[in-house]
Amino acid sequence: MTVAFLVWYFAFVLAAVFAPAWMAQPVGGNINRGIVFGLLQFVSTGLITWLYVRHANNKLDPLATEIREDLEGTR
Amino acid sequence: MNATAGSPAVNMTIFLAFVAVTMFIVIRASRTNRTASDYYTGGRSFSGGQNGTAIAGDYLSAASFLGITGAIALTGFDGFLYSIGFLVAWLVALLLVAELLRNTGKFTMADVLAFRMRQRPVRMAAAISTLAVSFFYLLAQMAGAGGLVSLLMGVTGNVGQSLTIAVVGILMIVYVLVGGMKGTTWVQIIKAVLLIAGAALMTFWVLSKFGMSLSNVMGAAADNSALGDKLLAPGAKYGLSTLTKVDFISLSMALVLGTAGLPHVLMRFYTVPTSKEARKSVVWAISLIGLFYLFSLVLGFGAAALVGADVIKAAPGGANSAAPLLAYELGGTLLLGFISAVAFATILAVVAGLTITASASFAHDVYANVIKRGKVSTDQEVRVARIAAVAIGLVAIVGGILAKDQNIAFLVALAFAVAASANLPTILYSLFWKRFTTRGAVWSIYGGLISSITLILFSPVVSGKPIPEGATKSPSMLQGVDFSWFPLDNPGLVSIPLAFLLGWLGSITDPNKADTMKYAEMEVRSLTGAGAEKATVAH
Repeated sequence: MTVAFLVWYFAFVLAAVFAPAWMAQPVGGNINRGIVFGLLQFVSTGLITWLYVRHANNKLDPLATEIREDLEGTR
Repeated sequence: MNATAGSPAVNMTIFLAFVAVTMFIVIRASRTNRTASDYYTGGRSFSGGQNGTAIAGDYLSAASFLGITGAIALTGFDGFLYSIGFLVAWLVALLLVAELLRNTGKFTMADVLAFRMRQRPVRMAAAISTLAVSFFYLLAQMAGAGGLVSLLMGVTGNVGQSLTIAVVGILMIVYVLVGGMKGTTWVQIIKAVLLIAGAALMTFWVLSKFGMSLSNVMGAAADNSALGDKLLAPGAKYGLSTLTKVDFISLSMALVLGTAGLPHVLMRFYTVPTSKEARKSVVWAISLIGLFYLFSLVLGFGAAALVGADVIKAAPGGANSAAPLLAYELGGTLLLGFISAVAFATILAVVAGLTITASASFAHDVYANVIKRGKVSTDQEVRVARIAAVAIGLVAIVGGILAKDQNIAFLVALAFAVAASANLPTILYSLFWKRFTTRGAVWSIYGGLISSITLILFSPVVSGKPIPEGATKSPSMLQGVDFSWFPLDNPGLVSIPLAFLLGWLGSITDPNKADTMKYAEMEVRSLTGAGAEKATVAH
């Protein structure tokens, strides 16, 4: 997931830097592809955060608690 | 518009009210400060939500609030690019660093790095890079305070500005000495709430003037800008040549990888009772920071549309004055007063956080573990930390006065570049790479630190930028000399990979193999929280 978002972010940076004409294409009113692409970065950040937290709460925490109680119980 | 906008008396009154309220809360909160854990981490008793808000307060420095709004107002899309880097960076903190760090460490970044290494060399290196990053960041904030007051408080002239920097420094020392981490955290929470509320108010105000449409705001901004439609597209700032393009990639790298290596941000993860709360605090921080940068997009374009680039450039603070000028345009003296007080409070909260981090690193790492080899009582350690806080505060005052004419963005970029080069590679290696050794850690930290600072020293930021048309001074730090040979403003592109490389090279050439038992212990502890530091105060 870390790799995926880094690729996604640098795709945005590279597009902004090397393909400004493409990014400047308007999609509606004064909103162009660059702004949409940029706002999608906000959306993806939120999405990744949500996915990770759900995974951690449901899967990782019970596992971690189990192991920790095993370890600390025997001390 | 004259040199100072609005009424300095109103600005000053609102700011003094903020100081009075926070000071009251700091004194109340500090009555239970007893142990080292209380002083450094507020007894690990903050909830995820509280800590997340404080992280947002710590992270949204004057450079982001004033700097990014100004950058969007003047360079449009490229300013927006900048803010996205600051936000996306938090995913590194969330996915890789926050929880593991909370479980492994005690007070400072060095606790984690030195966990399975030989203590003294690694701690020393980590403390030096912590102090270096904190120092550059502190300088930036203090210098910013000087510039800000000339605009907002009507304080002009060398003596007046220097005096204001001194007042900020002394206030910060008092917060840190009296309140410790708990007091500092409350200052940051209050400031974050005020900042985000103020930004939200201004955002809706701007949108309501343009029929609640971002498209209309941007259209008006483009009409009112010399750049025209180019304001809305990438390239106004970083698209000039291949060199500026590569430079921007370098800056992006430093932003994304630097955030999770900023020592004052890392230390905030120790103020919560469990790793689950650490995770929750990052989620809060990401939400608040994301929201804030969305606001700043509207505010930046709003400033371009309503105030205009020429007025902003001509104001005393330059680009930094975009947000306050927009506030004046919208709500007159009172809103400007509120926003200026918030901006000033921002600086105060961030410097307090930096000071406590730097003083903790000095007392806990350098004094207690390197000089005294761990044979020191916690009382003594806290006493040293307090003395260090005063010393750091004084150094920051003097440094801030000397640096008050420097470019703030440059100092902040420097801090991020050093954090990304010296801290993050070592943190990642020590959490995830079994065969990482003491030599690897030391090489990586010093390599990243020295290479990033050296490259900046010989970059166009320090010397040799041509004087732009219509200006009398070169944008470089030193005038009239040119000893630059490194073409980029930001060293990240070179120094970050170099630090990773050195960490690897140091580890495989180290005659002492990594302690795999210790790594297994660290892995279990970081993932499960077994044996992690517990909260010392009940909720």
